[in-house]
Amino acid sequence: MYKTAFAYGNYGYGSSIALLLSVFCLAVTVVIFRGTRKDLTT
Amino acid sequence: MKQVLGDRKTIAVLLAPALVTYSVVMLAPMLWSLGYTLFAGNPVRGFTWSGLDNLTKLFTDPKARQAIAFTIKYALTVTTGQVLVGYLLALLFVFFLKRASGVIRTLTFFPVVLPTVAVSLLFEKLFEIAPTSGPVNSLITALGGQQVNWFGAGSTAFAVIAIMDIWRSMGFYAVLLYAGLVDISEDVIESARLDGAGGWRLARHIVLPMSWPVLISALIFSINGTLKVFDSIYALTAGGPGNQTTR
Repeated sequence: MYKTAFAYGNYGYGSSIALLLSVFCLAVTVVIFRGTRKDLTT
Repeated sequence: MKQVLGDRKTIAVLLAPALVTYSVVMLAPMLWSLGYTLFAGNPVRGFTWSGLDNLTKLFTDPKARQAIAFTIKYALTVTTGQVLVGYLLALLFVFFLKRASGVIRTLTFFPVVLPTVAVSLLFEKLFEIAPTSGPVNSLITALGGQQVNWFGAGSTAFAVIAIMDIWRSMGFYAVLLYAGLVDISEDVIESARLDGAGGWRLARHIVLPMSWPVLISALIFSINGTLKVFDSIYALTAGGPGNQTTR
């Protein structure tokens, strides 16, 4: 991501990689929260 | 206090500075970055509209696929290592070292406060093969083995990165999980012991379920931290050899 955006000067593609990574982080967090909601509330 | 928090205007005035700061510093750059995905180019060359080309390229580019695969492999390995080692350390602090754990806790937490680049340079020296053998290769030679070019292959470079990142943050997770473990009532542990639970059974049926919420928090911290990692890998291998540790 860093190289794509700042070394090769392709901000658009670098931002796409960043977007994918953000979506991935969000998905993992949601999956963990959903999977353990019962344990956290009881 | 009730009077103050009951007034919507007061709530808005109290929240406004934080909300404005958050919006300017976090939300605006995120939305700006989201807009960039629809363009090609950079501020120097200028931007041209490219629609969804960047996103479609992301799923067909073999380099991107390799980087994504590496990121997932790294996140799973390092998260497992960080949380597992942190939990074992926390158990050691609470059930074995007890009040004498202060010095050990400080020592295991020490790498957390070290700058990432300093830790990367330290591990580079530890595992180096040329111009001089690092301590790890010297130890392997002393034991009769052959020196390993740790940064010469993707698998060994990955192993060094994983060891470094687990070592660097295990203290943080140990302290986090320690806080969860000390919250478990002594009475509960004592009753379980009186009922005949000890060792593994005590850990499996009492300690683990009661520390589950903090373990989940540690897991979320760790997986998000490892998915976003950049500095340590860039400082240690710069994505090499080739593109094998690029993320």
